[in-house]
Order: sequence, then structure tokens, then C-alpha cells
Amino acid sequence: MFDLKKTKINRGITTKFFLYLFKTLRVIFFFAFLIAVFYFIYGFMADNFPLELAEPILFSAFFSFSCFLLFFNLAFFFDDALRRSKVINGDIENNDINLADFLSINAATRVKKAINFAKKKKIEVNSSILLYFLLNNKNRKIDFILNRLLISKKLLLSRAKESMLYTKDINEGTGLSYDLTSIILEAAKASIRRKGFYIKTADILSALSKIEPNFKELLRRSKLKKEDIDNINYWQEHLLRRVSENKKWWHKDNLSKFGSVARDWACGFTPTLDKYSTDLTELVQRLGFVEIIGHENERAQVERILIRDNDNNVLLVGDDGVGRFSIVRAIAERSYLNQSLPELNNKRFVEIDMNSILTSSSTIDEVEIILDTCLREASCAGNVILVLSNFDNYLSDGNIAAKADISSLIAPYLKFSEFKFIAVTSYNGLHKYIERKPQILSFFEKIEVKESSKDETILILEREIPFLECKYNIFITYPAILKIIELCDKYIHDNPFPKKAITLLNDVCVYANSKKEKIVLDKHVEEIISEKTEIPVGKITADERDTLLNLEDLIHKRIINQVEAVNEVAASLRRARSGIKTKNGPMGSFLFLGPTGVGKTETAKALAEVYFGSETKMIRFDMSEFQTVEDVKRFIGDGNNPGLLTTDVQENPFSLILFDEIEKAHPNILNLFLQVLDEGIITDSMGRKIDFSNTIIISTSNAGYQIILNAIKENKPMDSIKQDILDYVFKQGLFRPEFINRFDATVIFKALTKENLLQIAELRFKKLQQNLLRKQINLNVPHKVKMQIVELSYNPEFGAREMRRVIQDKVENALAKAFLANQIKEGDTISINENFEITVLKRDYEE
Amino acid sequence: MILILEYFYWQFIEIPKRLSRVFLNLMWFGYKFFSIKYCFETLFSPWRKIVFVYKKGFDLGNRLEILFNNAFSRFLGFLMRVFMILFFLIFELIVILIWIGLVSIWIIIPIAAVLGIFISYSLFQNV
Repeated sequence: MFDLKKTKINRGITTKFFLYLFKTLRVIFFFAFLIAVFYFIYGFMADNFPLELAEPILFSAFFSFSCFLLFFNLAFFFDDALRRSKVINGDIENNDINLADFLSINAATRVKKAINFAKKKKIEVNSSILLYFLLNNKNRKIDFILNRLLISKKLLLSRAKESMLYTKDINEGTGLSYDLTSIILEAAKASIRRKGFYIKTADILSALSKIEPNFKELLRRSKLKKEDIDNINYWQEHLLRRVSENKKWWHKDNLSKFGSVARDWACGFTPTLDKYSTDLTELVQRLGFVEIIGHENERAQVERILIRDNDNNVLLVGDDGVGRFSIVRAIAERSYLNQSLPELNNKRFVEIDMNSILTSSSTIDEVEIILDTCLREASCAGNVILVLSNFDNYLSDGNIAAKADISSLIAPYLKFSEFKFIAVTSYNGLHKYIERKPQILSFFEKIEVKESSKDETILILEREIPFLECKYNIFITYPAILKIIELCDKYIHDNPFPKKAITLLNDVCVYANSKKEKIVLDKHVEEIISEKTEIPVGKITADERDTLLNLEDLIHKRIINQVEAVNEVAASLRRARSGIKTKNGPMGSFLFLGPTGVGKTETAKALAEVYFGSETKMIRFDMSEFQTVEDVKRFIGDGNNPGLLTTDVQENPFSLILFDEIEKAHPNILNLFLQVLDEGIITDSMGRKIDFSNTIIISTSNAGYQIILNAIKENKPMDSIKQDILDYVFKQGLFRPEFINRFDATVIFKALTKENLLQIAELRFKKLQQNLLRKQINLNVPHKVKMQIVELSYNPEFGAREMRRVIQDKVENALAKAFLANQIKEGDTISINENFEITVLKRDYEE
Repeated sequence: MILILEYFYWQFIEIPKRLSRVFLNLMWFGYKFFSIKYCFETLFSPWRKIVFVYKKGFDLGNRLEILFNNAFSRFLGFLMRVFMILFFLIFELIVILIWIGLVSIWIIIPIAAVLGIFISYSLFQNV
């Protein structure tokens, strides 16, 4: 039900006149009082007026002050008591509940204007009318949402105005039409989603984003979702609520921030520990209380473990940047504010600084004495919870001379129930050092800290944004935040959320600031990611669009024949870059089968040059070097050494990876490829996730080449021999079917014909001519010579490889000799005959 | 009519209630800030856990010295906590006085304003 007339808030709207009247009178009488007092002081203290005037002036001061008090009181009453809405409660979909009761005074005023307008025009209130009256006055909250989304208020307003008399609001899901009640019901739901108490103007805007046709269209064009309005609404209200709550100094939460003075009088002094540690509780108090987002389960778990009588030590395990310290900070904050478990309230969280102990001591004995004193003090004080970061750094198995080992020193303390200890470590440290000391590990309860979710990361970024905007004097748009999350998730794998997103946000702010731009847009994020990863993310640029559309032609400039292979590769790339790729895994993965010298490697090189900009963007592995089990370690690394493949791909995530002669690799390596081809991710020995999703993987093999050669001899069509080759490799056990199936395509490279070789000869001679041109020598190669080269080098078993040898032997050698013997000089035009003899046709100058 | 009733409720019940909530919070703050519960719980505990341990064997002089030191540590703790409780009481007293003062002023405001207008108006007429 929606009936604005029956609400209290309606009285607030109708009595608005009195409110302004009382407020004005309050000001007038206050100034009148001040003037009268000033006049009285001026006139009678300095003897400027006769005494008869004293009484009326004094009475008028008294009168003004009394009136001021009265109107102050009434204005306060009208503002406070009559403009208050009901808090949303109960089943809002119940027809007996009047939704208008929950409208805030601003929202109710806008809705009332819309109703009056519709009544005047004798039509029903529709979403466009409501949107128009929502936007046609100054409203900071609405401006905040629209500005963050980069939506023009003016445009939206004009469109709503144009269509307000004709708009029909139809629910696309049910086919029913929306009336005012259902729009306000949607707004109430939006308010509940953001944990609000009232229906505010921004909630109505959120509802209209799902209903009003113009608004929906604008959102669609800006590639925004309806949920984005909800998210910004939540962000804004949450921010405002925090600011307003912080201002209410008399609230218990705010008063708690002063702490307590005598709480630790019954606890011991810790002079040595104070010297070699950081008091996190004091730090929290000094730096202010930050809202901790996410990891609530982990935080609660740590709190529960710390209050136990036994086994009350915690081992926080997680990747760097995942938020392990945020958990410790959150507990320290809650403990200080008396919001934690009673046994944990008012404890001191102290992070021991091992580096300072190690650097201030000259001998191991000295280190042990200081550390022992610190631990004893912490244990005896009665209110200290010790924190040690990088715990694994201080455990060693004796193999590493430079590493300190505190396990024997700390172990006796870990048994005491009074000694509470939080050790922070990474997965790598846990597996490498801590798990090798089971007696130490047994004292701890292990808690794994997982990466923050994307939604949590958005909230964390929103928490950081006000500081960054203030620091760099910029405005960060919501699409930029979404882009940060999207691109971090896709392209950055060396750090977890939220660290990578926070780092990127900072980078983008610095970047925008350095370019003197005031608004941070999603394109800035794309530019930074492209710069960092060398991946051309974002909208396909004109150059890239041309490259993709003409990929086949560009590759064919270097590759003769092999149309099927080139087409397959080009199509795959177009799918990946236009964003319609459905599977995970690399951008494209191909298995090139065919005899040697037919252009398999050359195709890969051409692709690297055409698409990735340079042949150097190709990571090439000769798989004949990885034939034993031990080579697997070389490939993905072991505990101490980084892997060849994983390191290269991590450093160049946008590249072409060529595995030459894949059939020669050890089967275990082929098993590794299954995951890479399927998921596009591999975990190396260091626990890092290496992302292959921006690579093109090409494996080449000449397995089954005999079948191709026989087919040439028997004049069989090439298309029919693919299955024969696959049957052959399965039969021989070279590749398993699941391996072959994981490639996007298995491409058979045909053996080259004499015509193909002639074309290749032309390409080779063209290259040679270009090289000679640098020495200002023009080389003419008659067709007969090219044919002679083809005749000499034609051998289906070696493909075009033989041609390179022939050209080297016959042409390049002859040229080199002639050049060294001064027979040809710079500026000459020369020719070569069928016997591969060089003749000078023209010389620019005579000696 | 309803508006007038609402005004009286707001002026004499609702706002004094809200003000009282603020002052109750301040009293709670005093209780927490001066750690009163802990002061009573540990009233005779040694100051900062400073305790001396008897040496092995019987040495009357040493025993008496340690007994005196431990007793002094407890006395120091007691003294500090008593002072803290005293400060708490003073703080609470000040809070209560301000509370009573502010609520009284608030209740008097409309009466004082109306009376002030009448009195000043009648005085003005007599001039």
C-alpha cells in the first residue's frame, strides 16, 4: 500500500512553511538581541544615552532573547519531530503496510511533487515522472551516484521530460505494469539491500534503474548493470553513516576509543620487549580505527583459539598481500574497543621485531638472551599477545648457515597457557620450514587465510578511494573500479586480492595525476595494465583490428601454402581478442604435424612477429632437451631454482610459446601440458600460479611424416590423411588421445611442391636482395636461377630446409667470395647465372 | 491539538530521554575509562606484578625485607587504585551535575521564553 497523505512525514512536508518561518524568526530575534545588548553597552556603559532610554533597550533585549528561545525551540521541534520517518520493518510486501511511512523527508517531497504533477495532467504517476522530479533539484546523493557512473544528469533529465507523458512501465519478467506502489516497493528493497533504515532518494533512483526506460537504455549503453547503482548507493550511505556516527562522540563506540587507564596496572612491565617490538594496539590507537573488510570467519577463529587454555597459539598461513595482518589488526582493534571476546578485551598485541634483535646483537648467544627475556616478559606480563611475522624465516633445519633458528628457544613457552602467540607465515614457508619441525607445528592451530573475494575487494577499494582522491586531487569513477577488479583478476597473478587491486588503484591514481587528468577512467586502468603486462588490453585499437582482420594475408607474406594452418590460427586469435572465447586456457593452442622444413616453426615465428610485434616475443623450447624425469624440474622449477617455462611465461605473459619436437619430451612433461591447455594455469614449485591465458601455444612434431610423404608419392589428397597420422601417433604411443584433444586444432602441414619451393625461393632471394641493398648492391636473380635452385633442393623429406643449404652453398658463398676479392663493390648492380657465377652489370663509378 | 500534545511529549519526555542516554553513556565511559571493575578486582594486587621471591633456606633478614617489599608493592597498587576510584567518583559527580543542569535548562526553555515575552512586553508597556 502507498498513501502519502496518511503519513506523519506528509505533515512534515505541509508544515515546511512554518519550519522556515521559525528558522527565519530565530535568526532575526537573535540578531535583534545582539543589537540591543550592543546598544545597551554602547549607550550606558560609555554614557552616550540618557538614563531614560536604558529601560526600553533592556526590555527589548530581554524580549528578543525570549522570542529567540521560543522560535529556536519551535524550529527544533518542527525539524526533529515532524520530519522523521518510520524505520523499515516488518514484511514490506504486506498490503497493510503503508510504504509511504518509510520515505525520508526528501524522498517524500519528490514523490509528492510527482503525484501532484500527474494529477494535474490527469495521468498515473510513471517512472519517468518520478525520475524527472528526482533529478530536477539539487541532490548531492543522486549527483554522487550519477557522477561516479559517468552518466549525464542533464541528458537523463531531458529524456525523462520528453517521455514523461507517454511512458508505460512494463515489468519484462511478469509482463505486468509498474504502478507507484510497486516502484516504491522496489526502492524499499534497495534500501534493505544496503541495510538502510529509510527509503531515500538514492533508493528510488536504484528502483528506477530497473524500471525507467531511458535510464535502462543509458545504463545499457554505458555497459553498466543495475547492481552497480545499488553498490554505489551502499558505498555512499555507508560512508555517510560512518562519518555521522564518528561525529556522535557520546556513542559508546566512540567513547571506547579513549581506552582505559588502569587496566594494565595488574600486569607486568615489559621493558626489553618494548625495546624490540612494535605495540600494535598503540599503533591502532595512534593511526585511527580502520574498518576491516572480509576474513570474518578467520578473525573469529583466531579469537576463539587465543582464549583457549591449551593450544592457544595461532599460525596464520596465507600468501603475501592476502590480508593476514588485517586480521591481527582487526583483533587488536576489537580488543582495544572492548568489542572482542571478554577474555581478549584490553590485551596488548605486540609484534616482536626479530630483525632489530638480530642486528643489535653480535653473537648468537646474545640473540638468545634478548629473545628469551622478551618471551619471558610477554609470558609473565599477563596481557601480552605476541605476533611474529615471517615466522618461517626464523626456523631452519641446520642446512642454511645464515638462518636463525628460534625453535628450541620458543618451544618451551608455546606450552604455557599464559603465553599467547600469533605466527604469520606463507604457504611456501609452511611447507619448506615449519612442516619440517613437527614438534613446533603441533603447538599451533593452523588457520589458512584465503584471497578476498571480488565483492570484498570492491569494498576495500571504496574504503581507500576518499584518501587517494584527497591526496591526488582526482575523481575516481566506478567503471574504473570495476575495470581494476576485472583486469587484476584476468592479468595479474603474482599477488592475491586485495593487494593487487590496491596496488593497481594506487598506480592508476599516480598515472592519472602525472598526466594532469582529474578523472580516473577505465581507459587509464587499461593503459596501466597494458604497460605492466605488455598485453594490449581494452578496446581493440584500429591497428590491431586491421592486423586481426588481415592476419592470414600478413602471415602468408612469410609462409607459402599451409592455408589450413594459417586460417585456423587466425580464426582462433580473432575469437580470443573479440571477447567471444568461451573456454579457459591459452588464447590458442595448436599441434602442427608435418615433415621437416614445411614451415611449422616459420608459421609460429611469423605469428609472433605479426601479432606480438616481434619474433623475440616467442618463447621457444626444443623439447628434445627435456627427455628425462629430472627435466620436469628444469621445466617448472624445484624448491631452489625457478623453472625455465614458468619464469619465461611469468615475465612475458603475452607471448607465443613454441614447443619444438614435442614428441621427444618426457611423458610427465606432456602430462603437465594437460592442465596448461585445459585451465591456462600452472602452479610452479614456488607455489606461484602462472597464467597462460594470454599466450598462444604451438607444439610441432614430425611424427607420422612418412604417411604424408607416401601420400605425395601415391597422389592421395592431403585432407584424407589426417586421421591416418593420428592413428599412427596413437598406435606408436607418441601422444595420448586426451593430449591431442586438448589442442584447439591439430593442423597437418602439407609437404611442399616444386611450385611452393619456387615461391619460397623468391622469398629467400628477396631477403638476400634486401640485405645486399644495405651495402648498396643490386642483385638480379633470373627466373632460370630460381628454377635451378628448386631443382637442386627439391627433396620432400627435407622440405624447404634443403633450399637454405643450396642457396648458402651456391649463391651466398659465391657472393661472399666475390665481395672479398673486390669483384663487386658498393653501388654495383650484379647478376647471377645458372652456373652461379656473378657478373657485374653496372658500376656507378670507375676506379 | 495532536500537534500540541506531540510537542509536549517531545519537549518534556523525548528530548530529556535522549539527553539522559548521552549522560548514561558518559557515566559508562567513566566506569570503563577508570577501569573500576578491575580496580576493585585487583585492589590489593601488587603494583605491576612486582613481587620478590624468597631465597632458599631460612634468612630472617631477607624474609623480612622481601615481606616488606611485597607488602609495599601491594600498598602502592592499592593506593593507585583508590586514587583511580576517587577520580572516577569525582568524574561521575560532575557528569551527574551537568546532566541535571542541562535537562533542567531544556525543560525550562519554553516556559522561560513565554514568560520572558509576557514580562518584557508588560514591562515595555509600563515604560
